[in-house]
Amino acid sequence: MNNWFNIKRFWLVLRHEFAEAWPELAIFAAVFMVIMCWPVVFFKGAAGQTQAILGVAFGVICVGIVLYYWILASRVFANIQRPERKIGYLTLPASNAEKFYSRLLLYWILPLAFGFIPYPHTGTEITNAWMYFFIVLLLVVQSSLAVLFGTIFRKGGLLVLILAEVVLTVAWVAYFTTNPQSVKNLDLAFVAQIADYVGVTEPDMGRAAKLAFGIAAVPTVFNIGLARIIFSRKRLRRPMVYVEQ
Amino acid sequence: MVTISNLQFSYGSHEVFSNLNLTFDEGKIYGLLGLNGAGKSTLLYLMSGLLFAKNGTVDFNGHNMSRRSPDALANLFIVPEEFDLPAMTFERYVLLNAPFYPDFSRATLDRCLAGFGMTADMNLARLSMGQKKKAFVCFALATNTSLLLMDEPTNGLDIPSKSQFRKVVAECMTDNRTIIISTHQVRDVENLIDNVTIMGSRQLLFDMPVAQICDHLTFVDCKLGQEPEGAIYSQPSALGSAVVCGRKAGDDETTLDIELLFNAVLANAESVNQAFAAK
Repeated sequence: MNNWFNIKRFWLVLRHEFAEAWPELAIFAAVFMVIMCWPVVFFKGAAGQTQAILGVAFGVICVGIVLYYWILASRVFANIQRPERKIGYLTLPASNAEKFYSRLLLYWILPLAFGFIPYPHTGTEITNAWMYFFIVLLLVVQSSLAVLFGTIFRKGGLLVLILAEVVLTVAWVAYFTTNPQSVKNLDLAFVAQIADYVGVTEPDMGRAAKLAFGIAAVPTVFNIGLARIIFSRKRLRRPMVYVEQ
Repeated sequence: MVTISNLQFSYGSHEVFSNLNLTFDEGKIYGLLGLNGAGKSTLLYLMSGLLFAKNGTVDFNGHNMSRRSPDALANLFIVPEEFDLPAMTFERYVLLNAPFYPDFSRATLDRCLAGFGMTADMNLARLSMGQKKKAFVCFALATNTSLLLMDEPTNGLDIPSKSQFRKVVAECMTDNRTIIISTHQVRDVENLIDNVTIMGSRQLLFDMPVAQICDHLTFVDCKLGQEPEGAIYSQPSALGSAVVCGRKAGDDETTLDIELLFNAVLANAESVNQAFAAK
């Protein structure tokens, strides 16, 4: 057990990682504040603005936040992108689990928790539980995917993730555009069930949150679990001084 | 201490080791030599769990190193040829890293730093590569891990530092510690090592304690064309020829010439090894 996870050692690893990562994390936190606060500057007195302008502002915030979490989460193992750093990190006397979860905490869990602190100034835009429900779903699942891609592809993780998302979206749109009948044949019974469970006119925030958690949990656990396994198999690709003969 | 059994490893289709068997005992400083691409660094990385063998095992005090267990890593330190230190003071670096090593000694660290003329309040971001290497070697020695692996540790060090390096390593050596130094700069470790291990292509060519080498071989300089009978290997030198001979009864013991031995082993490992079997 001691070789798998030890809380004292975990704290040492966390402290070790934070000492090196804090400048980058501080920059990310500042960028996040800018993303969240710019509408306040541009749309002072939002009551006087039209719904359309507020909608655009909200859309920009959403895209900004998704991109923000993609970038941050895909950098979870940026510290081992270069072999010079990788050797020191992989031979640090801590278990793979301690190393993995310490980085996950700094680059995924804490930023997500930081992001879900209620921001009063954006409360005017996030007016119903449905919106909140989808944002939670999107961010948790998408950023867990960024963690996985960052673990597998290291430096290229973000690029591969964006490419994968674009390809999937294009394929999805192309499929439904070329097969309009398939849209009509979609079984939307589950949507009605969700609407019944959460409520439409006066949504139950608690139920929405539970549902979001349930639906997001499966792919998230899969992504993080797979990333954890891949991390434990991390090794040097080939010695820097290796010369092909 | 470290037992390598039936080790097989390759980079893609390029086989580096096939069925390698090797043991490193405690209380010794090993010089790991070989040509470029022979697998010296690869062997160090396999021993520290940074690479995984295709077949075979690397056992370090009962730990399978491919698992990288904290217990094993707390007793192992590797100084790679190229490394990167974070932008912080050395004092802070020590504060963050030393708690991982239960036998870390601050006194040893200060002694080693003083030997190199350095202090712990230096900023790592402002050091040259050679200075970083000295600081890192000092930290590595101060961890007091039972296995210390060093890959080309004298590369980038100035001449006085190379001599100081030998001094601090010798001072920090204990009976329950094993130090493995992989290097091309054989002169830098000539009077330091207890055992010479020479890697060839895919296999171990030579592995012998220095005392035994000096007991079985002599290294002499002679005039060209006057090489002694039964010379195992000779190469041109400033005086004529540098020769490796089997040591016969009554021959004086000579100082080990690692460079000459290395060339002899590369030229004809079989003949050199036979000299040990013959006596």
